[in-house]
Amino acid sequence: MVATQIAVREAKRQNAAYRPHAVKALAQVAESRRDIDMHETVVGVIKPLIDDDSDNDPMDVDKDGSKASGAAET
Amino acid sequence: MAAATEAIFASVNPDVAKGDKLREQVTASLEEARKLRNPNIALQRATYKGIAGMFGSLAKADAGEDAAAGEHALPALKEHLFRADAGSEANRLLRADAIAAVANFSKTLAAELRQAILNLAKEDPSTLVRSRLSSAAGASTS
Repeated sequence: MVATQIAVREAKRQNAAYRPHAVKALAQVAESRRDIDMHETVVGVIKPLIDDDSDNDPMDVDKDGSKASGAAET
Repeated sequence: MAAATEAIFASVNPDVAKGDKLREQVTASLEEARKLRNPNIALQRATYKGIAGMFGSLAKADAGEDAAAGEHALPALKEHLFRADAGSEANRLLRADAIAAVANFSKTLAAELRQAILNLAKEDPSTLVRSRLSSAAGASTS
């Protein structure tokens, strides 16, 4: 049970670089634990990520503001 | 998002969840994965592998065909598995495996998807992909 708790806790972390690895690990834990039902827990972690993804249009995001404004000036 | 897709399909556990609960889990997983926009190659691969794994475990656990009989399951499966652009041959093979897993699990779904599978098989340039798709289409009649 401890391993599942750790996997869930790690997958909830907000660090964007770390999270995909933690979520992948959560997938591996869910796949290997055939004795417990992890669906609700996993959906609880994943749903906000999916909702976030479907709310944010990547075309609207300007990651490098300085470059963008520079480009607009030229 | 590919990791999220993997996790959501891997969390469906027919060894523990049964009946209505299992049906809800299958439908919810397909629906959640459907919400993801911009399906890049990594996401497509994760979806195909996830669907193949989920239906494989449903078959292995001898879950009844109605586990995938949720109202939204068929439209979601059609959207996931019959997208216009499935990319490279490796990717299309993964898709063919996912289709085969669905067809082997449920004769009803196999029959519903048969025409779409045959159309895909007709259009695919790879012999290997065509052969896997043809055997999946055959599952509805065997």
